[in-house]
Amino acid sequence: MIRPGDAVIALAGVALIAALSMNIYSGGAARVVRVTQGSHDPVDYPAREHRKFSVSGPLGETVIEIRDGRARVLQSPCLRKLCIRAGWLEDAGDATACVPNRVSVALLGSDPRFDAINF
Amino acid sequence: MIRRMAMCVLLALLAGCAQEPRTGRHAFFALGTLVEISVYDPPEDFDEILRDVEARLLEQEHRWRAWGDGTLANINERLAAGDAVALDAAMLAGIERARDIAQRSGGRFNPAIGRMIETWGFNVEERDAGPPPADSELATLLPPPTLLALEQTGDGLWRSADSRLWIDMGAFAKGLAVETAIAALRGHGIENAVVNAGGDLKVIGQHGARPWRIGVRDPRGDGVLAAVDASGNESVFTSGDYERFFEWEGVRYHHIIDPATARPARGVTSVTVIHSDAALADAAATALFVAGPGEWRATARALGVDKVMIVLENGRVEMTPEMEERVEFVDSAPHAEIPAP
Repeated sequence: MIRPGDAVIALAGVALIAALSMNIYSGGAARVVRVTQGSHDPVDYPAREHRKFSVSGPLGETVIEIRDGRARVLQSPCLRKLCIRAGWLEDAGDATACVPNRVSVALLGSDPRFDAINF
Repeated sequence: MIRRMAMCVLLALLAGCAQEPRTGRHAFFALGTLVEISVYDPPEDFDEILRDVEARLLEQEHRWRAWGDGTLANINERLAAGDAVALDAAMLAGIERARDIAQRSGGRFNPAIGRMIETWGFNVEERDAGPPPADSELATLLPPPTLLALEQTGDGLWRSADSRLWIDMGAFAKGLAVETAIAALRGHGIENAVVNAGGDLKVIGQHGARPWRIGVRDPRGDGVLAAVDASGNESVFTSGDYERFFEWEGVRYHHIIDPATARPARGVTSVTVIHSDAALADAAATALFVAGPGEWRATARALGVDKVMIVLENGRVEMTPEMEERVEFVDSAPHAEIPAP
C-alpha cells in the first residue's frame, strides 16, 4: 500500500534523477567562458549571462561577446582575423585564440565533445 | 516496498554518480601559439607543475626561434657570415634528428630553407600585404640548400658550406617541444594528459576509463571533420594550408613551401599523422603535404609512419588502412579512399 511518505520519497528520487541528468549529462552545453590574455590568470564568465567586453593585448583591444551559452570574438586588432572568422563558439571544448594579441576564448562545460582539437 | 525501492534507487544513483575526478586545464602562449595542457585528475601541486612546463616550453621556443633574438637565429646569422659556431648537445641532437628525417623524406621536409620561408614572409606572425616573391628572386634559392651543408671543422665547431643555409625548424621544433612538455609532466608523476600546442598534440594515458577524444578540424569548414580516440602515447599532428596564408589577385599562397620549387606545395589541403614520436609526426605531416597526391604513400613508408589521412584540394580524403581503423567521420563522411596496403 502506498503511503504519503512513499510518494514523497519517490518524487524526490525522480527530482534527483532529473537534477543529476541536467548537471552531469548535459551533452556538451557550455557553462563557463574562459578568457586568457598573455600570461595573466584566466578569467571565467558565466556562459548564460550576456555581456560584451574588451581585453587589452600587445596589439590593442580584442572585443568578446558572450550570449546564450555561446561566445565569439567580435573585433580584433590582428591582421588575419582568424579569431573572428571562427564565429560563435557553441559547444563545451570549443576555443579560439588571437595569437598576435595573445587572447584566447574557450567554452568549458561538464562534457565537452572533444578533449582537444587537432588542426 | 516502494520506500525500499526508492531508497535503493537513491543510493544507487549516489554511488553511481560519485564525483568523477576533474580534468585540470590550463592554456598559455608559447611556441608562437596557444598551448593547452589537460590533465586528468590533476595533483594538488598542478599549478606549480604547469609553471615548470611553461618555463621549459618558453626555453624551447627561445632555443629554436630562427629569427629575431632566438638561439638558432644567432647561429644562423653567424653561419651566414661565414663564422664557425659551437652547437650545444641539445641543439646538435635536434639538428641531427631533423637531418635524418629530411634525408628519409627525400628532401620534402627540409629545415635548411629558412631563406625561402623569409622570402615569402612566413617567418613573421603577420606578413605585410603585398605580392608573392618574383620568380627571379625564388630562382636564386634553387636548388635548395640542405642540412648537409653544415660541416664540422677540425676543432669541433660547425660551418656552413652554403651561404644560403638558414635553419628553420618550424616543421619540427613544435614536435620536439611537445615531447619536452610530456617528459616534464611525466617527471612530475602525471600519467594521463594532453599537450596541445596550437592544434598539434600528444596524449599520454587516458581520460579515466576512456581514451582522450580528439577532434580533427575540417580544413575547409568551421567544424570537425573526424574524431580520433587516442591513448597511451600518441601524437596527432596536422599540416594544413589554412594555418598561414595570404591571397593575391585571387590566388591563395600558403606557408608550406615545396623545397624543390620554392613555392607553396599544391594539391593538398591538409595532412594528419598519428605516431608515438611527436617530432617525427610533425616533420612527416609537412613532408607528406609537400609530397602531394602522387607521392605521399611512398614518402610515408620511407619515414615509417603508417597512420596518415590526407585531404586533397578537390575535397577527396585518402588514408592508410591503419588510419582508417582509427578515425570516425563526425558530421558527414566525405568520399574517402583507402588504398590497399
